[in-house]
Amino acid sequence: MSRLRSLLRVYSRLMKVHWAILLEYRGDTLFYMLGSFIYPLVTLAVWTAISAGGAVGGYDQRDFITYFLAVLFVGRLVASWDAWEIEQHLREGTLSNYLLRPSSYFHWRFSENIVYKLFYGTLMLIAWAVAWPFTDVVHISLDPIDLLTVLLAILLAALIRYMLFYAIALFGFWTTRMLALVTLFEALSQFFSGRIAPYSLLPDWVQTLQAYTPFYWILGFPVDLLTGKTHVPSLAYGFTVQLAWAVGLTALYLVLWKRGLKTYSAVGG
Amino acid sequence: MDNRIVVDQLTKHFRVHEREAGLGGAVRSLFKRTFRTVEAVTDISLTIEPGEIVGFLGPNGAGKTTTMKMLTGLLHPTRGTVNVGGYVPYEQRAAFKKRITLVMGQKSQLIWDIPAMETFLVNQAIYEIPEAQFRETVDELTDLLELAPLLRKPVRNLSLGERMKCELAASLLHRPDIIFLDEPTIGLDVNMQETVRQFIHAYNERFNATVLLTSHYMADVTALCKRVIIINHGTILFDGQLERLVNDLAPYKVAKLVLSEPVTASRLSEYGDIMHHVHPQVTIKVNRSDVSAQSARMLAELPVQDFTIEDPPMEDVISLAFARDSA
Repeated sequence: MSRLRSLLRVYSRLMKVHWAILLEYRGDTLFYMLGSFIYPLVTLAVWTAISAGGAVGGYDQRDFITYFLAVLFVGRLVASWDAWEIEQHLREGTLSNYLLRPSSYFHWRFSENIVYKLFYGTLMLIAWAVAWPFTDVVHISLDPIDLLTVLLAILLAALIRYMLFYAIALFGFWTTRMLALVTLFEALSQFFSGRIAPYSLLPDWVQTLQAYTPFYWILGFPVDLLTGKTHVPSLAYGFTVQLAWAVGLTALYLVLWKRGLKTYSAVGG
Repeated sequence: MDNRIVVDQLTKHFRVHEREAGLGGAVRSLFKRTFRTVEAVTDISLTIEPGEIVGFLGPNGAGKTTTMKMLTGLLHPTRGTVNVGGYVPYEQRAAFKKRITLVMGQKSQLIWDIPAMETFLVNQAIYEIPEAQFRETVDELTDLLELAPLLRKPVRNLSLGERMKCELAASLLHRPDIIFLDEPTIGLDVNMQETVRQFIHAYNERFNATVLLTSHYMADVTALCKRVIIINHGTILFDGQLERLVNDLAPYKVAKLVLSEPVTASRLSEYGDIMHHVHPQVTIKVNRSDVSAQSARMLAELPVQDFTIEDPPMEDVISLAFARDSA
């Protein structure tokens, strides 16, 4: 119990620190966020052009707009960039600073991610609410059960994405080319997660692979729930697969971290 | 609680990947990787008693930092045993981390973009320092290191010396009783070096902390350490009292004279080896065993205007140790 209280104190302090850093760089943060919107907007433009002549695979123009707005929204909420930070800390040996202190490096990283997500989430919710009276493309089901379902799916998606890229980043303990691996996974993720097109428009073999790669569960699943077009046998099935990925990747992280520390040679200085 | 450091036959060998320069080398290394073993530290044994301040000296690449990293738990030893304050460092237990600190002059634990006070508060939470003790320690450190005007400024706006002072404070908030200092005065001006030295001395007295210090500035060592350990090529060359080091390695003292009229070198060399001779200044090495006799002779026989006799500079003594090692 006192350990939990102590951990909460650490998180509350770390989050205040990350908030202070975010404010120092508020301009950059905003630009990153706007920058991240470009890709879905361009993809959206392509699909609205394609669907101008009529619905494609069950999606008409309005559906595409709602879909890509949801991608933009969920995409920001599941984002993580720890691999780049971890790479830098490993390369420069600054990871040592964190290892010397009696609190896991993971808490430092994770608390940062939470702060940015709260920031992005608040901004986007405000934007969504402002847009509501003006256009019906942002209209989604406001049924409390639906909203809770979407929220849970987004939280699990964020956890899967976070642990996946954190675990990949830990390969940096063994190779200096870890970022190449990260880039490869990012590229696969673009295609398999539903960022380029709604899942039902992707080839059959992609849909068959759905449960065996983590990508759909990082983005496609919560987006489909948000837009009311799910492609899974049942909600329970969807959440079970999400949970399995989250648990599996967290276990992978724990193993890699423990082994990585043994090989860590605390480079530099 | 015991803050002794005991190290027995500690060894760290790295396997490093070697690559030829250029694109060809990069491609070849894709298929055939060649490895080389670097023996950073080999069979080091030492004991540091509670409350001791020990200087850990050696040229760059001698194995000082590798040893420090094994003592703080950042590196797993290849073989041998380490015990620091009753803990095995590489097990990285929280209780162990709360008792030690490592201050690196070239690396900062301070969070760059925000005031140092924020790092202090993070450390308060991480080290679970009770509020009252935290306030007291911060006040004390603020007093000793004159931090008051610095704590509210973003760290990136501090000068190197100011940052080092904040660094020391951040590293000692949890009142560790085993302290590792890796070049704590590097890049600091003379006044700031002196401040840091006095502070380390005061902290050691106050908490009976065990201190292991590396530095390239001999003034740090002579001011703080009674005992020094010299390491080169990963092995210990000397471990003992600073005085003994000087006596053993430099069995001479240095006589400095200012002459009122020129004297030939051949006449001066009667008293000892001439180290330096540009009229009117002369520096002569005099055998330790007959320092008083030779001094009396010089004063009586030479046109001496000014005369001092002192120990050789530490830098010279240390380089003698390295020279003896490679001979």
